[in-house]
Amino acid sequence: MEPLIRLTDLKKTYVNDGVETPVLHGVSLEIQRGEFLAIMGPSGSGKSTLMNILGFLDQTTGGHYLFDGEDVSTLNDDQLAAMRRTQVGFVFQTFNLLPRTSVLENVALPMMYDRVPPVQREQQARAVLRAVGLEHRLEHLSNQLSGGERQRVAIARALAGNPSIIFADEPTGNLDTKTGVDVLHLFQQLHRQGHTIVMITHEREAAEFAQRIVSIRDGKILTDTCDHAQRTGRFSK
Amino acid sequence: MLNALDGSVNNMLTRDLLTTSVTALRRNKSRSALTILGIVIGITSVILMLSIGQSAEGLILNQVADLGADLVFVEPAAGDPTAGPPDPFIEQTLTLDDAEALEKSPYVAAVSSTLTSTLTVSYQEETQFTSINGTDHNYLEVFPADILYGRFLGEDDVKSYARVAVLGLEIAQDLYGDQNPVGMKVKVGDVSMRVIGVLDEQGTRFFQNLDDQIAIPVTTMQRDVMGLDTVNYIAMVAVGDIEMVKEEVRWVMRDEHNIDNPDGDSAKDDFFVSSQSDAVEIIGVVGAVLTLLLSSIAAISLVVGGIGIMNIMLVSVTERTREIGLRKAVGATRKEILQQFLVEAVLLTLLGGLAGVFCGVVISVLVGVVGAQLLDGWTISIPVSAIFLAVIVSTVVGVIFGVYPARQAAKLDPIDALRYE
Repeated sequence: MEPLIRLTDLKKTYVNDGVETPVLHGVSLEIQRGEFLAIMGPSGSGKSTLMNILGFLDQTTGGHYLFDGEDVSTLNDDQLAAMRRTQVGFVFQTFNLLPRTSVLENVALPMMYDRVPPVQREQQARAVLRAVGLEHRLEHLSNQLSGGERQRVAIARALAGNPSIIFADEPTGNLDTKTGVDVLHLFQQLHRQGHTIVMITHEREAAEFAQRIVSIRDGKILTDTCDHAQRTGRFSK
Repeated sequence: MLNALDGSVNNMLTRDLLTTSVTALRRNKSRSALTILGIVIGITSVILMLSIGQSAEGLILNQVADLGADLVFVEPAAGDPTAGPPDPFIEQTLTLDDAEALEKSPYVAAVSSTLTSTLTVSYQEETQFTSINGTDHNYLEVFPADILYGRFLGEDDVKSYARVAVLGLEIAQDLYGDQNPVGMKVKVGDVSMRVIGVLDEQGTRFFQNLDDQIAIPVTTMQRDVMGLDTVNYIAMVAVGDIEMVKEEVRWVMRDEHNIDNPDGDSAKDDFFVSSQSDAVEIIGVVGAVLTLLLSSIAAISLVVGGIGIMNIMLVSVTERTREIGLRKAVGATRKEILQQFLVEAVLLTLLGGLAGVFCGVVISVLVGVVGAQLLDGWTISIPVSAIFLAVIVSTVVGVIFGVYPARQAAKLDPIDALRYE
């Protein structure tokens, strides 16, 4: 079966004031539907750049990126926006919720840009908030929530559009250990329900929650290990 | 522009767009209110100027209409009457002989000559400085007024150099209090005269207080008061087509003054013929110029207001960089971000415009109420077109000054925007 994502010799070079800074030196990677994958590496390794390209926030400067069999390296700005709208959900380190806006509205936001009718939008938002255990917080404003709750709202928002894949960029970076573990368990639970999740992290402890770990350094893939059985055995309750 | 915002397939729903923009504006209520103040003031002044301008023009045109549009005036003027305002030191070329000659023409009626000056008048201990019109019995036919006491000047008074005076109501009250002054003495300049009549209240015309004037025979004014043999102007009522009458008057005057002017070139004349309808035209032009002037001031204030909006929108874009980044990350297109900020700017200016219309109308009504007390015949008029204009203009200001910040927002790179601290 065709993988959801297939990267072939992906390269990315930033050009700033005529100075070229290569960040990715030929990354080849396949991600199957239903995988929970951690991309792990120290800062400066190129993992964020890789996620930005995978999440249609940035374009490659070389190599091929096939998403669901389609070459996306030639998409224009609006087409990239459409891909973000329909195919991916993002979870950020700093949550990036709209301030002074209700939980429900925050979660419904991506569906607004996807032209989902308001009534359906609210129903779907309620459903995903129930899935992340926040059904009692619907009308709270985002700034009235704790860090863990905020990140769960962000996860609900990522789920809301029913995307093909969820990208989480250091999702536990701003959380204490216990809350971080809760969030990671939530990802594992979503993974068991069939969601495809790619998590960027620099912490091995966080990466261990994933089913597969791709470690990256200096713009190249170092190791790619898949040890599903062991890790789920060790961390699941 | 707004057509592109409808809920077609390529766009987010119009309702969502509006809700998003309104929510953003409400989040910063006091800032939004302060931002639109410039627009409010601009639009208020537009409404105010147009409404007061219209009222003033209406008032003046009504006064002109009261006089009748068929009045013709001859004034001394060399050459081009459009060269500038009347020169008070202009050579006086008109005499009573001119008036006599004009009287013979079948095209004019009620020829009235006037020599005017401002002099001291006194009765016992009371002394006033007021406007004296040396004129004749036809004066009231040209400038109608009611007689309160006694009578007006008669033809005999003019012929006999009579030392008689007809007072306006206000000067009569200033000099004599509540008494009927008919038969009493009045001193005009150094000449002692007898009061023969008082005119009823007339109010103001062209910003002159008609009740603070005294009429005496033009002959007495010339010989005994001023020591002159000229008059300042000759007024008459036209019989027939006004342009034809003016031309007739010109030929009579040229004949009188021995001006060889077979081409009818008015630059060669030493007099100038005008009519009330010319005055109406001039008032119209003056009004238009004034409106233009005031409109430019209003336009400047709207530009300043627009710059204020632009400034605040730029601040808002910077403040909300992360929000913009997030919106882009969840799939908003450039166009949708652009629209959101543009709609915010237009909502601000439109709100300012509506508030300005409200303030403008309220102040216009207040000015109208006060104006009606001070000036006879002042009416409140609020041009409906001005209201539509204000709404359209404020929308346009919003679009013009909202485009730049909106474009700044739209072209933000989502990755940078999400990381922005």
